[in-house]
Amino acid sequence: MPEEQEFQDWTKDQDARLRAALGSLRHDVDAAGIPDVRFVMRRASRQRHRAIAGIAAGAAAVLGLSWFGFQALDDAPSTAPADNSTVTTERDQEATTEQPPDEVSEDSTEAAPVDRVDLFTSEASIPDLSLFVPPALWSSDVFTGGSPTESALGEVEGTTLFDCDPDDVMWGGPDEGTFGIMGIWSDGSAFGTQRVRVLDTVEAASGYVDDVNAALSDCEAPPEADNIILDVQPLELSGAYRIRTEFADGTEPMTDFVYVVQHDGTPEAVSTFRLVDWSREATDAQAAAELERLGRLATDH
Amino acid sequence: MSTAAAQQDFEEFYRATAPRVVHLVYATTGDMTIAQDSTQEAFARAWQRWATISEYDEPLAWVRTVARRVAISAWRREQARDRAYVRHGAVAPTDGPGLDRVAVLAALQTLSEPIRESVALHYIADMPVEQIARETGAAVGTVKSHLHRGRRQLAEALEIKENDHA
Repeated sequence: MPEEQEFQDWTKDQDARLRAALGSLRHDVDAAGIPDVRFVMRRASRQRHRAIAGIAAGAAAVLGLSWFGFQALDDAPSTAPADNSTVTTERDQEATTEQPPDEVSEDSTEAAPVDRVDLFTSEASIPDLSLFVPPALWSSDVFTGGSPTESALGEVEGTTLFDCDPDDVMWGGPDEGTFGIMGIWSDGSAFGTQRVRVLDTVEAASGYVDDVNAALSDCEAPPEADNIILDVQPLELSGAYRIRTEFADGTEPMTDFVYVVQHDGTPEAVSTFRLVDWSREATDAQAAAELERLGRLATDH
Repeated sequence: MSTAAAQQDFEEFYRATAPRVVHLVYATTGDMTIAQDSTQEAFARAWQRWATISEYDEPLAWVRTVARRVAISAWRREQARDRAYVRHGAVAPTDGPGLDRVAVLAALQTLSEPIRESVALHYIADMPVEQIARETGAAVGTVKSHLHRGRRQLAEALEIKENDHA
């Protein structure tokens, strides 16, 4: 029986009992309670002070002021001679608790490379982090409304980015090769993915690009997915496609844009980008321009 | 928005939504300590950026995503310990769930991480398939597949059968 049919055959009664079973965990949550909101605000304030102290310590180190740097980094009570202008105290922290702190941490990390812990990678070997577009540079008017972007781990079990994707290996398998997948979020929505696949030779990388292009050109919904219709159209940009998925069950159609491109700086590497158009307003030309921009940021490396 | 108004706004948001976030992360990780800590961390980060996040259509989606992300990182660090508990036939909740909830937590631990996350988001956060895809980065078809497999495994583990109200 197709999986979709089994999905539909699940009864309301079964659904209600499963929901009740999982809902029972709420008893443990209520029993444990949640901390007072002021505790949470204080935690935010302490983090901000640590961030500022870190910046100050860095500056101090440059100037050779090692003693000040030590004090600024240390949350313990100061042992320095009294000089309230340079010591962060618990009292200072309390005083700032009542105000929303400035947005320090994210602004200071713009264009920083992706953090290794945010990547889903093969077990054996990991692509160079410079092959990935820095998470902050994924922000765009078209796909994020100008909102900032950040990387994070998503729900990933294997390398597949889209239906028909020929790069389909499960994590930890003997044939997984060298890959890394980065998910990009904005405003709580996952909208972007970059998969970097590093092949053994330049020729193998070219062949990989050809395989992905061929798969996209001929892409149709798999026979068992009888509830969806795929419409794949090439964009003006070579290697870029629009994938529109329509659902028989009434789910709103989805539009993804996919782009596969070989790197120039590391020609054994191939990046495949996937952008989800949650706004449903992106035009093909806008998507192609955005994919080309991301591609340029990646392929120089 | 004035500082006092922002603080009141955040407090109301926190009180209304924090237990739901803890519940979601608890189901995802099976660890109450991680659930509580990651939820606090997510709300702390939200407060740091409240001027921006309060303008979002769904500030809760942002907090939920950050909390799950922080929790999964912490949970992976604890995996060795959890696996040891699972090998001995039990889950490893820090604060001790009620006896009837042990079975639910144990059943959840039999699911793979992405499946458990989809199930928790659907049944605890009441999110439809498309929204789960939006918050997790998985394709809609993948989420449906996760839910299908998760339901089947949980139904077997919890002995939920059609027309069986026992």
